[in-house]
Amino acid sequence: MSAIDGTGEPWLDGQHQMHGYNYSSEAGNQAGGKALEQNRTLDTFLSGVEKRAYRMAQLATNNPDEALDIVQDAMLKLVEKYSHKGEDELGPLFHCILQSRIKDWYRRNLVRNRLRSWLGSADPNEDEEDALQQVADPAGRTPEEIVMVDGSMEALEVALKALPLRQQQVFLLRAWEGLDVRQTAAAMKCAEGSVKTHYSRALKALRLKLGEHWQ
Amino acid sequence: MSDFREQIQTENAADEKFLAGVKQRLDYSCDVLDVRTVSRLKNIRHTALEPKPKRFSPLWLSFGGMVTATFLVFSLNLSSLQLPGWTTNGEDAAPLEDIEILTTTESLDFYEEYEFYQWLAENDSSGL
Repeated sequence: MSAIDGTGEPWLDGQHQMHGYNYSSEAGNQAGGKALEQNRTLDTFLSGVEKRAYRMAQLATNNPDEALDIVQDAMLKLVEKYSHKGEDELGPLFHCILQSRIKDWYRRNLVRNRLRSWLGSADPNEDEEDALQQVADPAGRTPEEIVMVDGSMEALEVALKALPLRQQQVFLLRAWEGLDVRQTAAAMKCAEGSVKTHYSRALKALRLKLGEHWQ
Repeated sequence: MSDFREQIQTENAADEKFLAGVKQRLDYSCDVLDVRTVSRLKNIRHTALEPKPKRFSPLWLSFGGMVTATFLVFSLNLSSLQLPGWTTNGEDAAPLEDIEILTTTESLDFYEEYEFYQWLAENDSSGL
């Protein structure tokens, strides 16, 4: 059971041990309360961003498991290094870490693919599709709705995947995550001018490819 | 000039409409993620928020390990080193005897009479 509020949340005792807080004292209670508040802030933030982060990583990697690994790394790093940061800072920091992980994956994959092409081995993405992916639509849509929405979604996905990685991620950060130019530049570790260029090119390419799906 | 401005405004409006459509579809793609992925994301978040045991810095760990290893090697060398001209007398061996006493299971009476037994053994060996 928790020494603070009796919620029994296991992380509290862990914080106690980790930081050496003395919860029997007033100061200890304050510190524990702060840690509880930080944990709640992080939980709220991560639960709000996790699906979008996964989709961004999935679009970059085209592999659900790799995308989950990237999101896991980003979450662990954020909690480990920046749990003390305020709510408004968490978004840019998280995306900075996420982009860093995506870039790492991209580099590793590039090397791996080169090795594979030299060795002439088979494509590892030819695995069987997961049976759970084949179950009925979780949102309960009619087949007509699926065709209509998924048709344009599929087209969007194909168009996004066809973009160069930096253009793709800049576009997603700006258009979907709502980061401004400065925050996007910080997340992508590039100049603000590059962000504007990437975004403009991505938008132009997507409009050209997807125009018909948005009629 | 006004035509150009109108054209820009029309372009911006079209961009905004397009972007709203993209955002809507991407949001929707999150809403319809499969159960397994949603569950795994939840587990990942919970794992990330779990407390981690305090980790020792590898530098300190290696430093501590090095100090311990040096101490052990030094101790072993001291206890086993027999340089020429060195002899061990009773006084030098006393700490080792103490350790032996502490680690054996002999009764305490035996050690209280230890000096007598030692004297007896010396007398026996000298043939007295």
